[in-house]
Amino acid sequence: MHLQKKYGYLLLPLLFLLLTSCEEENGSSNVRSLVRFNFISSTIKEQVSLFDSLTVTAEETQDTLIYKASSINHISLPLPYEEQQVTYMLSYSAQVRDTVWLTYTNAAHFISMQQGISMYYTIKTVEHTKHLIDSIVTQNPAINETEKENFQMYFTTTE
Amino acid sequence: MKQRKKISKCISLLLSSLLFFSLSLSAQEKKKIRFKRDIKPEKVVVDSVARTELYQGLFVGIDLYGLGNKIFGGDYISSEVTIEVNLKNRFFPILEIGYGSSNFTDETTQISYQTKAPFARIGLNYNFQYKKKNLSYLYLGFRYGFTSFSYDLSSPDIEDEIWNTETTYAHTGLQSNAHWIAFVAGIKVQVYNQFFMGWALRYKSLLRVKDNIQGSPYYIPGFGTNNGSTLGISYQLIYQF
Repeated sequence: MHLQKKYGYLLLPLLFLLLTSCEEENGSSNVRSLVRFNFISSTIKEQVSLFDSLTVTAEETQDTLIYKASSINHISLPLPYEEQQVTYMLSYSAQVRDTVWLTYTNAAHFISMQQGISMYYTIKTVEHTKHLIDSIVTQNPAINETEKENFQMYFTTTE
Repeated sequence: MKQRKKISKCISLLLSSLLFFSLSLSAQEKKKIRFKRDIKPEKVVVDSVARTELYQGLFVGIDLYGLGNKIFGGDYISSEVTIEVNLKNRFFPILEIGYGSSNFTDETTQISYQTKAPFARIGLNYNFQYKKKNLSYLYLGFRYGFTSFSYDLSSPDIEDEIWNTETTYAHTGLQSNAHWIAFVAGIKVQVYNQFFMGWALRYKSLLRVKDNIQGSPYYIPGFGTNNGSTLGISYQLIYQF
């Protein structure tokens, strides 16, 4: 092998170095894990869009989690980082509302340098009132940054 | 600020690459105007008898890329020694032993990661130039790598904007281990007497890494950033015994 050809080959990794060091990095802040309830009709046993108006609030915060949503077939709600329980109030109108209680364990989890830390939860118990909610069935008790169906929330409906 | 740093790093790398290539080209141009009688023939070592024997020698090398990685903006520094046996100039069983460390803080999220641990890889290279009389090697190979290590992860307090709380996140001594395979393609050429230089591209794929609930390791000594699979490179200075 000629010398200049040999040294030319030896310099090729510089190209690799150049390409890898110019990679774009996208930064973002911590990702929030959400618990997802899919709305199911107790009559037809399918996911349906319900309510002309739905407002969701939680105890120990002034924030409204969902404000006057309509025609939605699911809700995705945050959970507190520091507590191991949460109380949600689902208000369908000024007079009608349900309350849902969740208890859980949690642990802060490092996802990646760019996506940061996310709180992971494991649901222990779920309880609720029965004004419009018929039942709540747990589908997946593990809650992480990948949103998926955690609960099926059955509502009393008529055909 | 971060992007400007990246751009200036890219420009400096580009300039240094161009400088290397222009030096190489100018050296070639000078050679063109020399008379043929002035050019000394390249020293070629031919030992046809020895090449038929099973044991052809031993290579011991050090990786320069892992040592220089931090200078070029990498998240880690790694040093390793390779021991390679030449069998019939065709098969090269290889053992790579090294020490990798990372002490990295992300500029955006301010998450810090620290680890340092030894690692080992074993494998085999196959030289496609086994019939050539000159001392250059073009090879494909595979590796199996493993390491056992502990790591530290910390972050600024995690703010819960809805319930107005802050959660601390700092974990030390999280235990992990990892196993991976790699496919290697590279060259190795004689540069002076018993000294060789060479580089290899490596496609690495994780077989298993032990996770913790607090988070997976960001960097795995000997493997690199904890992606399922990744491309890597080694640049070696080698001595033949």
